[in-house]
Amino acid sequence: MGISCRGIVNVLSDYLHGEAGKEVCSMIEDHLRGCERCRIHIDNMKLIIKLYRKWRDDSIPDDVSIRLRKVIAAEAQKQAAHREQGISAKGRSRKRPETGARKRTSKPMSRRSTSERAGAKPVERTARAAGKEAAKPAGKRTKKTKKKTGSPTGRSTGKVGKPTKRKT
Amino acid sequence: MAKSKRKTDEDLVNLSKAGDEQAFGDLMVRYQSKIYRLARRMTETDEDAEDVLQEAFIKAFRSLSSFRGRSKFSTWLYRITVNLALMKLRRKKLNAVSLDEPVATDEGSVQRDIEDATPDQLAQMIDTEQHEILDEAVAGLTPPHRVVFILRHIEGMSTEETARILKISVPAVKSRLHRARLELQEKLLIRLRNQTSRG
Repeated sequence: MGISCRGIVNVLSDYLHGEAGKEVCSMIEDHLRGCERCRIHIDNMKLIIKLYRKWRDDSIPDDVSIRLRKVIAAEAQKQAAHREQGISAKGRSRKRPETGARKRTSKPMSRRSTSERAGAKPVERTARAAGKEAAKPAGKRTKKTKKKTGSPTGRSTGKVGKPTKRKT
Repeated sequence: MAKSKRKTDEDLVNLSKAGDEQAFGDLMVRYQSKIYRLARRMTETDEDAEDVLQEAFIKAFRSLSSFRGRSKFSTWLYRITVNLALMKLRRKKLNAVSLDEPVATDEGSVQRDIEDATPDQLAQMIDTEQHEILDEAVAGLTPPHRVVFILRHIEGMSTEETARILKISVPAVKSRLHRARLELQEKLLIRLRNQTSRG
């Protein structure tokens, strides 16, 4: 059975790369004997592919390869640092119940929730601290708050998951 | 080194996932030339090819943990590369090249052109005007045609592998390839006709 011009399209790539079976090859060659258009198209394609492959030098330059290694090494270091940061942050969060009391004492009262203030500290102390806080100049408060924002442990005890979120 | 060469991609991927940096280095050594070549053929400039190469490996390195191994590592990496290269092309709109310009002055259909030009004439033209003509013709293909032509005909990947990389069906690959071949031939023949009319 012969093959049509349309049929050639389906098997042409395999034929061009020598991947077509014997039967398909002989069908194509039979067709090409009687179809000049397909013959020219196939010959042109063979030539184009051969010349393009022969002339193009797309090999990777040495310096490109060296830069790639450096980029990936830097990326690996970055990932390792992130991992480490994540682990130490997790470690700190796990240890928090033991050291929590000390940390809570050093935390500004303004950053504590009402329940936290009520539960952790005696009422008079809380009020005194609140009074001190209110007496402080606004600039100083802002500065202290800023400092605490950067620290993964400078959050209220309810937000233990924050460092992990930062890591991802 | 020799030991790691015997390892399959899958082994190296698993080792990499477990934190073995050398394993990813071995994957890089294995694929960097192929990825660079594909990127260079797609983007046509050294700078863009290097960008695509670096971005592809960084992306692969960062996403390795989410790589489930449903496709081969090479297919996955080629897919990342092709997508990055296509993004670059889109940004630069490289598909509008000078070869398209003479079209307006010419008449006739693709089919007639094919009949008119023999491989001898094409070879003669390419010989005379150096291989830049061929480079320009391939670079002038629309990105979907160019990528399929390069993967299948220049890189020599199978039709099935090309389909997997591009996430399209095998018939779609065949159809795009056919259109790419016609488009390429048309571009070269237009050039040939222009050259003949000038000479």
